[in-house]
Amino acid sequence: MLQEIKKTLWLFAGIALLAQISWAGVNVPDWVRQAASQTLPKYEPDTNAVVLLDQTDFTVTAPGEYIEHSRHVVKILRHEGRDEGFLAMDVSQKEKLLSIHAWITDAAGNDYELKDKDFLESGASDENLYDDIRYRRARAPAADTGSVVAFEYEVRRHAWLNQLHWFFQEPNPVHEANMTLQLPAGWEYKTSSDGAAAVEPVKMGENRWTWTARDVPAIDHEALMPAFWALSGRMEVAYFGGGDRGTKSGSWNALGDWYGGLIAGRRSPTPELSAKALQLTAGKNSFDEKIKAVTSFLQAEVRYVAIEIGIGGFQPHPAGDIFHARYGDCKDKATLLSSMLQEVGIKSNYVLIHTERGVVHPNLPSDFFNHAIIAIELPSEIKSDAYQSVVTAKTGKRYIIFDPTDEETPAGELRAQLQNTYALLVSDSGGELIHTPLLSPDTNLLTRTGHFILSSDGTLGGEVMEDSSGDLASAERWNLVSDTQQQRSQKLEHRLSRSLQAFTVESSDIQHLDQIQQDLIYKFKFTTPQYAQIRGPLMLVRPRVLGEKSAHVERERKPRQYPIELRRTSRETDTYEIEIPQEYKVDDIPDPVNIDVGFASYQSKVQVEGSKIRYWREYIVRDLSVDPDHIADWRKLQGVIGSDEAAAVVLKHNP
Amino acid sequence: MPSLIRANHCRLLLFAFLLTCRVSWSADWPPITPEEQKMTTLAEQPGAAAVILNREETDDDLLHYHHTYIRMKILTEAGREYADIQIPYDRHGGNISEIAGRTVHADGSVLPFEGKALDKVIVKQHDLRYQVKSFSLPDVQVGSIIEYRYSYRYGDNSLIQPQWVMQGDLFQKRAFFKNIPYDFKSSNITVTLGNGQVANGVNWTSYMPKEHLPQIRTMPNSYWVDLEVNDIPAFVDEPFQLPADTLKWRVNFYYSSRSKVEDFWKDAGKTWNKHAESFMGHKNGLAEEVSKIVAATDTPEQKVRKIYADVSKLENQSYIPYRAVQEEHALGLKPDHGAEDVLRQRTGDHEDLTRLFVAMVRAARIPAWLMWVPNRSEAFFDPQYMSTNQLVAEIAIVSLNGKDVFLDPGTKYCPYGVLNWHYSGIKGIRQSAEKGTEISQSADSDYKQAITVRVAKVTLNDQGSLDGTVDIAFYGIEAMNWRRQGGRTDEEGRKKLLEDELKRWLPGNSEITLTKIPQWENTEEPVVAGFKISSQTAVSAGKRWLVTPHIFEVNNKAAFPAAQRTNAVYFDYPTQEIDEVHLTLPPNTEVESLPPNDDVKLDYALYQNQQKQEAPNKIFARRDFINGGVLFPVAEYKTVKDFYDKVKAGDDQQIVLKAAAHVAGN
Repeated sequence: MLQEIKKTLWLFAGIALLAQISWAGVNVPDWVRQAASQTLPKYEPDTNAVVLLDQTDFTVTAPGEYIEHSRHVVKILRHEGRDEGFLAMDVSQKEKLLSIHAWITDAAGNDYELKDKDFLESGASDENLYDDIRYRRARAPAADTGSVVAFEYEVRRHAWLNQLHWFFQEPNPVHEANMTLQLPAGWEYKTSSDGAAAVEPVKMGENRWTWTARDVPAIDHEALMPAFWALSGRMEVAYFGGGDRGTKSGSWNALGDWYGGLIAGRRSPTPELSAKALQLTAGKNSFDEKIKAVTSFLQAEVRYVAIEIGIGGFQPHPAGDIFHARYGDCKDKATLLSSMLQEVGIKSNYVLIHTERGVVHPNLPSDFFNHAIIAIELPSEIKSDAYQSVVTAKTGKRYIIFDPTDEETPAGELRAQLQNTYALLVSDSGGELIHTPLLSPDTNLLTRTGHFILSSDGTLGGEVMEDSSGDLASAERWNLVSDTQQQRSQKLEHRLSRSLQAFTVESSDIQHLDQIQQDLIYKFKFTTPQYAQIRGPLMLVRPRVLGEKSAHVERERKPRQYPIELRRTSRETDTYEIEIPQEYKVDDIPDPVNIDVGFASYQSKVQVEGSKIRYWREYIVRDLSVDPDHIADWRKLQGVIGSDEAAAVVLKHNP
Repeated sequence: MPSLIRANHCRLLLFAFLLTCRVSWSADWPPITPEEQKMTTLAEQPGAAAVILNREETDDDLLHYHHTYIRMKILTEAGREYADIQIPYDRHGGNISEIAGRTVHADGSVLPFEGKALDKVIVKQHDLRYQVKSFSLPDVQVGSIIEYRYSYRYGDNSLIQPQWVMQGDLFQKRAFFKNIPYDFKSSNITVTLGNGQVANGVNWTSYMPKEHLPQIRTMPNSYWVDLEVNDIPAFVDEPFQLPADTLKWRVNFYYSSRSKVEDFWKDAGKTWNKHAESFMGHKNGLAEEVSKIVAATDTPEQKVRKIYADVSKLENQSYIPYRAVQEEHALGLKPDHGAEDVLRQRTGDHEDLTRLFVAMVRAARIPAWLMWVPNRSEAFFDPQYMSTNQLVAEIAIVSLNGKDVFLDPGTKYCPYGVLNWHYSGIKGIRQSAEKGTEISQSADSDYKQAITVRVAKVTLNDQGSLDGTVDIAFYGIEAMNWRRQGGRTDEEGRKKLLEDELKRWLPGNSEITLTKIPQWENTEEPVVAGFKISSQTAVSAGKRWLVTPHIFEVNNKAAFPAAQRTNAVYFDYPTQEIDEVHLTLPPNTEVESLPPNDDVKLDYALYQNQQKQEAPNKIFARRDFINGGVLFPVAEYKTVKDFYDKVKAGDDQQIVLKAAAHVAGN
C-alpha cells in the first residue's frame, strides 16, 4: 500500500518537477562536451546506452570525513536506455550535499540543465521502518535516443570506516571510468581488486592518485544469473592516517576488529534478559536443547523491525533494549541471541554476510555486507556432523552458522541463500573470512507420493502427500505462513493448475507449519475429470501427475556469459501409483530416463504392477551454480526432464 | 487521497470543541472485553493473521482534523507485522499528532508505546512534501491486542472530505466512521469548487451493501454523517476481476453546489460542453486542411477515414514520453488554445487530437461530437457520484448514415472504427445535437475487433522436433496493443518482443527467428509477422509419439482453477483466436489416433477444434476460440469455469503416432 502511494507520489513529483524546470542560459561544461565528442567503439544493436565517463574523485579531509565528487555522462543509444535519464544520489543525515547539477544535450543539439532546486528529496528504503538516508532525484528532460545526459554532484560524506568502494562496471558498457583519491599528507592507502579487474594507479600529484578503466563491457542481463554486485568490476580502497595502518580496514582481520569495536558492550545482559534465558533453558541440560530453546524464542517472539539512524546502519541496539521492545533488525536479533546464549553458557560471535552469493569476495576486504547472523560455538564434545551448518575457523573452533532473522529455518540448518558463500566471522581477535557450507542434497528433501484411481471415463482421483525438509520446507513455510485458509486454497489450486486441466480439490491439510524442527507435511485429495484422453480403444495417461522440475529458461540470443544460479541443492522424488480401469491393459510405457550431468541428475521409470502403473522419479541437484561451459548440459537436462514430464502411458481396451 | 479544497476564510473555529476533543483523546483506552481477550481464531476468516476488533475514523472539517483509532488482535506470528504502523500524510497541508498506542498481552499486562514516532520523507520538493510517520508497538506476540490512535490536523484554510474505504486485507469486527462536514448554512464563507462553482453542501455516494448506509445525525447547531458496520469481510483479490478500487465497500464524500444528480450533470455537461466547443471553435486552417485531404466525391465515410488517418499522423503527446517545458520551448511549441493550434503545431495529447478530429469532421460538414468517459481499467462512471473527476478521456462520435460511429483518434495506433478498450462499453457524458449533453454509453468492444490468427506449417522430425514456419497476424485492438509496444522501441526491440511472445506460447527451449517483419506504422493494417521455428513438441509414449496439434496452447494453464469465486469475472475486452497447424509427419510414421473434434458453444463464447488427416503424412488442425463477453456475475462463475476447463481439455488433446511397421504389424 505504502509502496503504491510512494510510486504515485514519485510520478506526481516527477511531472511537477519537469513542469517547473527553467531553461534560460544553459551552459554545458567542457568536460561534458569533451566526453560527448569522443569516438566510440561499435556496440551491439541491443545496447541501450553507453557510459562515456564515470568519474569519482574522493578527497579525504579528516578522519571520518571525505568529499565525493561524481561526474557521470551517458549517451542513450536506444529508447530502452531512457532510464538513464532518472538521476539519483543518496545522502544521509550526517552528510551534506554541496552541489548537484545535470546537463542534457538532445539528439537535435538542444541543451537543457537541471539545478539543485530541480532535484526532489525522497526517502530511500521501503524495507526499514525508518532510516536516515535521503535520495535526491530528478528526471532529465529530453532523455531519449541520441541524448547525452551528464550528472554531477559533490557531497561531504561521513565515513564510519576508512574504506571506499569503486564500482566501474554497469549494465551498460563504460567507455571510461576513473577514480581519483586525494589523501592528506602522510596518509596511505591500500587497494584490493580481484585479478581480472585489477587497475593500476597513476600518481597525479602530492598524495593524489588516479585509476582508470577503459571500455569495460556491460553486464548483460541473463536469466538466473548471479547477483549484479557479484559480477561487477570493483576495487576496494582502504586508507589510513599516520600510525593506524591496517587497524581499521584493508584486511578481513581489520574489518572484524572495527566491527568488534562497534558491538562492544552491546551484548551486556539485563536482569530481565538473563532471567528469560535461564527460564527458557530451565531443565534443559544438553547443548542442543539449550540452543533450540533460545533460538526458537528469538525466531518466534522477536519481530524483525529495522530502524537505522546514522551508525545504526552498522551498530546494533543494546541487547536489553531489544529484549524489552521484542523487536529489532538482523544485527539486533543477533545481538540479543548472543547475549542470551552467553547467559546460558554458550559462546557465539557475529557473522557479517551478504544475502546475494558471491558479493563478498575473498580478495576484496570490504564492509560490503547487508546482513548479520551469528556463529554459535560448538562444544568440543559435540561432533561436527550433529548439525548441518557447521564451519571450522582457523582457530580450530567449530561454529553453527545460524540466522535468527530467518523464522523458518531451525538452528543447525542454513537456508540456501546463505550457503556456499563468504562471510566475516567477528571474534575477539579481529575478523576471519569464513566460507559457509554447501549443504548436501539430502538435507533438502521433497518426497511426494500419490495414490490414484483412474476411471474408465478418464477421470483421475486420489490423494497426494508431500513431505519436505530443510530449505524446501523453509521456503514452503515462508510461502504459506501468513496466508489465510482461503489464500492457501488458492495457492494449492494455482499449483495444481500447472499440471492439471480441471480439477476439484476435495480436501487439504498442512501439518507442522509452525513446528520448524519437523518436516512439513502437505496432504491433499483431488479429482480431475478428463485426465486421460480416450481414443477409441486407446487411453493416454500421463504418469507424472504432478510437480514440475523443468525450468523454463529462455534460450539466450547470445552465448551465455555467466553461470546459472540454482536455488538450492536438493533431492526430490515423486512416486505415483495409478490404478487403471479393469477394462484396460497397459499397451505402451515410456522408456526409463537416466541422466547425470554432474551438478544434477534425473532418473525416472514407469513400471506396471498388476493393475497399477507405478511412476517413480528422482531429481538431485548437487551444486548451486552451473558454469557457462556446461550450459549445453543444463539445456539437455531440462529437455530430458520436460519430455519425461509430458510422456504418456498408452492403455488399450480389453478385447 | 481525499479531495481538498481551499476555503476563503474559515478561521473562526470553536476552540471549545477543540479542547473537548483533546480531552476525550487523552482519556483511557476503551475497555477490552473478555471475548476479545480470549479470542484465538476467527471463524469468519480461518487462518487470518489478525483481526480488527474496532476501527473508528472521524473526519471533522469544522475543526480541521482526522482522527483514527484501531484495535487489533494478533492471531498468528505473521500477524505481528501489523504492529509496525506507517501513516503517510501531506506534511505541507498538516501534521500528524497525538500518537498513542499500546500492547495488551493475553494475560492482561499492558505495555504502552513510549517511543517516538519517526518522520520519514517520501517526497519533498517546493510546496510538495509527503511524509510517513512510523512507529512500532512493543513486545507484540500471538494473542496480543494492539491498539493505536493518531490525528491529522490540517490547515484552517483547507477542507478535506474523506473516502471511507471499509474493506482491507483483514476482517473487521466493528468499524465506525463519522464525518462532520463544513457547515455552509451557518457561515458566510464562500468555498469555491474546482469547477468554479460555489459549494453549498456535502454529498456522498455509497458503495456499501444496502443494509449499511450512512446516516445523517443532527444536533441543534451541527450535523454529521456516520456509519457503523459490524463484521466487514476482508477484501479478496482474484484474477480476472474488476479494478479492486471499484469493488471495495466504500463511501465517497465531496462538497457540491447541487444536491440533485440531474442538476449536477446538467451543469457539469454544460461547463464541459462550453470549454470543448470553445476549443474546437478555434478552427483557423481546419477547413483548408480538410479540403487538402478529402475529395468532394468522397462518401462521408471516406472523408471521415481520411481525416482520421490525417489526425493519426500527428504527434501524440499522450503516447510519447512526458515532455518538459524546456523541451517544448526548444521545439518552439506553445500551449494549445484550440484545435487550430493542435493542427498548426502538429502535436497534441489524447484530448487535443480528439477535439481536432471532431472539429475537422465538422469542417467536412459531417455531424460529430465528443464523449467524455472514464478509463474502465480503473473506474466506471457512476452518475450518483457527483464528480467529474471520474471522467478522464474524450472519444469522438461521428454520425454516418444516421448511425453513431465511435472513434478514438486520441489513442495512438487505434484503428478506425475501434475504441481503445479502456473507453468502450462504458457510460459517460456525450454532446448531443438536441440536448446539449446527456449521459450515454460508448460502443461495446466486439470480438471481431481483437483477433489473433496463427498459422504453423511444420514438419515433425524423427527426434520429436517440429521444424517449420509460423505466421501470426494481429487485428484491431490486438494490433493496436502490439503497435503501442513496438512504437516504444527500435527494430531490434520489436524483433525481441515478437520472438519472446512466440516463445511464451511454444514449449520451452524452442528456437525462434523472426523472418517477416511487420508493417508497424499503418494503423489500418494488421500486424503480420513470420517466424522460423524449431520446437521439441512431440513426447514419447514407448513405441508411440504423442503430438499436441494446438502447439500455441501448450503453455496455457487452466484459467480458472479456483472452485469458489468471490468477485465477478471481468475480461478487458472480447477476443477471437484462429489457429491452424499444418503438420507433416516423418517417413515411416502413421497416425494411430486423432483427437476428437470439439464444439463448445455458449451465448457469448465459442470453442471449436478440428483435426483431420489430409494425406497419409499430413495432418491439419484448426482451433477457433471466441470470448464475446466482458463481465460475468459470480452466479455465472461455474459456467465460465466449465467453458474454460473444456477449452483447456480440448487444447491438451494429442495425436497418437506410431511407426508404420508397428501399425502394419497390428
